[in-house]
Amino acid sequence: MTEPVRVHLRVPGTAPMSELMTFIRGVEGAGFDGVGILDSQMLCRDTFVTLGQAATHTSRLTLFPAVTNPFTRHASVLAGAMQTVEELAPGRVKFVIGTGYTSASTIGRKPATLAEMRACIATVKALLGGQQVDFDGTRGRLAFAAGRRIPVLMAASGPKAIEVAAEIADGVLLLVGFNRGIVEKALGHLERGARRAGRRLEDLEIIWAVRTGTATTTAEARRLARPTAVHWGILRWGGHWVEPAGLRLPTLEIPDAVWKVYPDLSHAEDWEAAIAATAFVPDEVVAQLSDALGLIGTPEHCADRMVEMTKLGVQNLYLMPLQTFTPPASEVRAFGSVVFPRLRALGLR
Amino acid sequence: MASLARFGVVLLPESLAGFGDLCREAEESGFDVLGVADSQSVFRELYVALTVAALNTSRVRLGPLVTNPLTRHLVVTASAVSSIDEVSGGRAILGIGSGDSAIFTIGAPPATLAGLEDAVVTLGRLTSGARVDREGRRWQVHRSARRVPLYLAAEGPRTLELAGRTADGVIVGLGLTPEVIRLSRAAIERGARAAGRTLEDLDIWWFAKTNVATTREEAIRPITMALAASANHAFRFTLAGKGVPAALHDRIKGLQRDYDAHHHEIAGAGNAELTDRWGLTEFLADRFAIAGTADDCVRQIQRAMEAGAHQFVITSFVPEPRAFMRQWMHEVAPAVG
Repeated sequence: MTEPVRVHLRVPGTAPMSELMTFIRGVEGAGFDGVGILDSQMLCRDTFVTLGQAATHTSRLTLFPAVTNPFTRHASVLAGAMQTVEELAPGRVKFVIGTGYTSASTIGRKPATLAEMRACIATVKALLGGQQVDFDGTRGRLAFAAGRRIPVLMAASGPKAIEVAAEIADGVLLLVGFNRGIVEKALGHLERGARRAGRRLEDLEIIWAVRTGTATTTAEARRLARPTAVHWGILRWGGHWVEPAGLRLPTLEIPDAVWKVYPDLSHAEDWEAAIAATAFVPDEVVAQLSDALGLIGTPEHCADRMVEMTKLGVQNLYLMPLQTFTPPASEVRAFGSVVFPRLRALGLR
Repeated sequence: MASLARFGVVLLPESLAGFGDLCREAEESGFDVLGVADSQSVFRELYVALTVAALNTSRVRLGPLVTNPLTRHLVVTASAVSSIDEVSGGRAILGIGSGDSAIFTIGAPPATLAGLEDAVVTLGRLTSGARVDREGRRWQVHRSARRVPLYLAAEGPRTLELAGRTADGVIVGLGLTPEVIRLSRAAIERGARAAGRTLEDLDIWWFAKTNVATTREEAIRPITMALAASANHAFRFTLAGKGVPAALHDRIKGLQRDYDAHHHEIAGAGNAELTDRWGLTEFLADRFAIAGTADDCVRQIQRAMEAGAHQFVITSFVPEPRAFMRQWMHEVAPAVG
């Protein structure tokens, strides 16, 4: 029996709030299952302001911060904020927390350690569940915990983090890449972590975070994907996954201009300038990386790849459009008008 | 010419059901400022509540009254307040203090004076969109276009001085008796002068625990938990220089020992009986409250105005906040003159 594929979309709060709300209503209208609101305090509007407002502008979408972190807000603030959004959108929220990326780099701190992740996730879960928590000798609790289930997911991209997520969280948002080799290796780590906690893979909600960029031609989609592909594959943020992905990458000398892009290549404000900074990488390498990374190509190509991945058990996707400072309008159109109808025709929606 | 009295109101987001209507009522009643309390374990998330407030009002200035520099990173606070400024069409203000139940419920120590100074200066720069070089990075909230006015909540002489020196305004929480008002103004003025400013350059608001009823006793009874909160907060670091009779010092310390931050400002909860238990109800009501019949309230406001206070942030921590706000603005405020 085929299971339907669920599809969530990353929405960065980099546009004015009224435009964001119009956009999010459009995402719901196009048939997506949920939206994740970027939490990066310097780049975006406050994630909980955006989520709170999105709650009142939508009726069906699942809403979550994507992803928050354990160091820019106290765990009790995170729990209180999540419970507040849930009150406005009962049964439609998730809590997604990771070690922090631009939320850390832009304030000059390192991503959270796995020990910090364990502590924060345990605290937030307990507070949302109405339990008491020991804060250095002070008993804390969330006075308005509703007791309705709010899934707590950990975002992870390295093998150790994936195992910890499978051990302690209700689910995991995997940012690892998107081909057979990667998916199989990631599932192996998930299973190991789950076993440590006496659980099985089936007990976890698994969401695959997938870099997504659609265009009318494959060549244009790959050109637009250059900053993300190079960031992930050449600067080696996805270092763990290049080998299982089966990629054969040449050794390239990285020019200084790449490091000067603010806040970094894959979150660049000026996307064309970021594309220009990747000129040292041959097209052939970008093509390999694009295929390993996610859904980069024409809408038809993206639909075909999704169908292929469902055969490996991938049922739940979080699409991460490439740009942070431009709303992903073309992806919303592509999925609404081409990808979702194709999936529906195959019984996958 | 004597200034007219102006009023702001603090609301507790104890629930978001009906919160938008409550905010609309506050604006329609004529309040100039709408503050939302921040205590993450007790009340709904500050910035979600402020979003609801912004969407349900069109004129009133609004913001946290008050947040703290500890439970959220300063850049998160700057970003969130700028988001509220955008949602409200440029009506945001930012009240910040050293932290009360928000930090006591998580066992954290309050912000130091140096920490508060850093917060006021840094938040001022960040909300104006300026760059702050810190910890090896440039902190900048990219889309901020307008400097959000910063109010420092202050009780002790040194914090009041700091407010006079660095903030755009002050929320004075040391009390409303003529002696305390003069003492507070003098402290703010010392700070202002150190920065080459005068008292007139600062937007000064006086924090009052308020209620109206048919007798003074009936007005005070429902807000004793708020008076206990004032005693717990305003005198927590020291009693020196705050105009408190020495005979009361031990009783105040006793009340502070018994205070439960988890029941902060919640009517009918455990803190309500503390003012009687420690024999402080009358002292605290005279000092921190404007409460009684409408005529009593008018007289108490006039007494404060003669001492130099003319803008009041009042609490609505009563069973029927909407009726209370209407009565305050329709019966008390116009009679003040």
